[in-house]
Amino acid sequence: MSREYVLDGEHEFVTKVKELTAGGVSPDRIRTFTPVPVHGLEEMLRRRPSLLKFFTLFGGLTGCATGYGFAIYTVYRWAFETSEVQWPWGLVTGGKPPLSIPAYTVIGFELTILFGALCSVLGFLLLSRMPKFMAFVPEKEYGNRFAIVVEDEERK
Amino acid sequence: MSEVATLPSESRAAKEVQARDQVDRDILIAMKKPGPLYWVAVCACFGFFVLGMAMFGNMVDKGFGLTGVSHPYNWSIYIVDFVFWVGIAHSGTLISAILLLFRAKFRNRFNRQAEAMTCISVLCAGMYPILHLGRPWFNFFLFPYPTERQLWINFRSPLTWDVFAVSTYLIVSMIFFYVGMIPDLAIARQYATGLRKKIYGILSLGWRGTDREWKHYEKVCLFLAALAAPLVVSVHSVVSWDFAMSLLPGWHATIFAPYFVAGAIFSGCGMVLTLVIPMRKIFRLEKYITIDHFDKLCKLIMFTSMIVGYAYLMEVALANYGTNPFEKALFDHRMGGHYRIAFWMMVFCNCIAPLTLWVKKLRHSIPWLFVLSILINIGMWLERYVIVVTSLSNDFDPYNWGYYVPTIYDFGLTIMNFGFFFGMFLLFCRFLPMMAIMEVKEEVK
Repeated sequence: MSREYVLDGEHEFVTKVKELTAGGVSPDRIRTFTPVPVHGLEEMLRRRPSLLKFFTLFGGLTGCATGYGFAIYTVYRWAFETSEVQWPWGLVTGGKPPLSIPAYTVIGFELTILFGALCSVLGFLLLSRMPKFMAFVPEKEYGNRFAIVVEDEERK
Repeated sequence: MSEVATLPSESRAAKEVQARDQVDRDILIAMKKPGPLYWVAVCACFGFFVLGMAMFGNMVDKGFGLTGVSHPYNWSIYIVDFVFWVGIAHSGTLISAILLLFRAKFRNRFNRQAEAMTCISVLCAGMYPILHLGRPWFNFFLFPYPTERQLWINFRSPLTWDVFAVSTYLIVSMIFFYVGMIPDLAIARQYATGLRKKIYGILSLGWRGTDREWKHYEKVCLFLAALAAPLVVSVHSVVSWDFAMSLLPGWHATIFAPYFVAGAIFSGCGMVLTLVIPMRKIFRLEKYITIDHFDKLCKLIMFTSMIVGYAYLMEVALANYGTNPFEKALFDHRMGGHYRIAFWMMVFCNCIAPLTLWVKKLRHSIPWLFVLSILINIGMWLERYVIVVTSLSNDFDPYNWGYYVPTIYDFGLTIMNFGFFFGMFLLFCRFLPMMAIMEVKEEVK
């Protein structure tokens, strides 16, 4: 049988969470619903830090490599694909060096940001298990109150 | 089966809940059924847009000769409008991302409106390069793919950078706008009924405010802000390089990137004032957006206005100090030639009028701020006009010079997107939470 506590104030909520964890309730059995983020809650519930940073890092690095790689590939693609043409042969346009790193930096930079942002959002959705297809409109909402639900079993 | 224990709460805590409920109701008031005046305003705005599109259709049919665009000022009105709207977009990301990183609290009263403004104005900006093509159905030529002769687009071209920068900006600012709104959409869902409840439910992705959701949400907002902050600087720098990478006098200057970025933020803050002042009055948000919040925004406007003023002065000073006769001749022409009225109006609106903000009384006068915001919008539009048109009209060879005279089509295609912008903003106020409710509630203790 799960227990549910609904509190009005943030202060009361924090006190109750501390009381529960001090009283021997495993933090993994506690779920909270709050109208605003409560700072320090993660530590109180001994949650692991968010893994989101790795998604952002992965996206940023992939974007950077894609941006530079793509721009460089387009000028050297004949050298890549034709065995008769020797490296470093590139398509010269406008009399500029084929490997124009400063110019390609803009492309590399923009794609770093783009892929980084997309991966961050994807990571956010995956980690926070959204969208909740089965419950877009939850059965019960606590509005502007703070709720603590102590479940029977530990959550995964 | 669950056991519910509602604990006896103190009266202070009960008041906290009431205060938070009040914030919800006050901000969501705009989502109630609007009066006929609202729909008249929406129709009028989109009316201008439709009129502009009809003019555009006629222009595609008959040719570019209907507009004032011709040799040598081939860019004129379209690129003026493009840069103007990209500039307007910038303050949205500045207010939401850079000020978030700086922990400037006043941002949470403006960030939602500014982010909406960003998304809409990037859409407005994106239309102009396509309209300017003349054959807009070939706009896919801009995208990176090889031709049938296996030649790719030129990645050294600033115009290609522009495609990457502006489309990245559009996508990232939309993501930022949407992710920031998820908890507020859940609040809207709570108060809505029927079909609207379902729609807000889908839009809020089933947000419930669990500790897991908040943990990742706070992180994603921070990371998106950290990614968007350099993006703001880069996008308008890239737009400025559209000019600065050429060899034309008046364009070929290293100062262009910082000058454009500061100008963009300046114009965007002006537009935020133009939109927020009437909104605050109509929806009675005086309690949430106070004079103090405006005061802080005004300081940002003063700061960027002075950077812009410095850049104007420096451009002229370097042209006169340097040894390039073309550069000097161009600036003489800008200040005293055909386009001198535009130039001096620009200086008045962007550098002199904002100086009034040094006076606290004027900084706290809402009517004056509204007038000033309109002056800033005009001034920043003129700045782009002066940069684009004067340099193209008077380049190196006097035989090649011209004098740009806009026609009714130029005006129509410019006003068109003002209609689109204000119309979309009105729709935003009606259908989405117009202020960051969750962030305002965080301050309720």
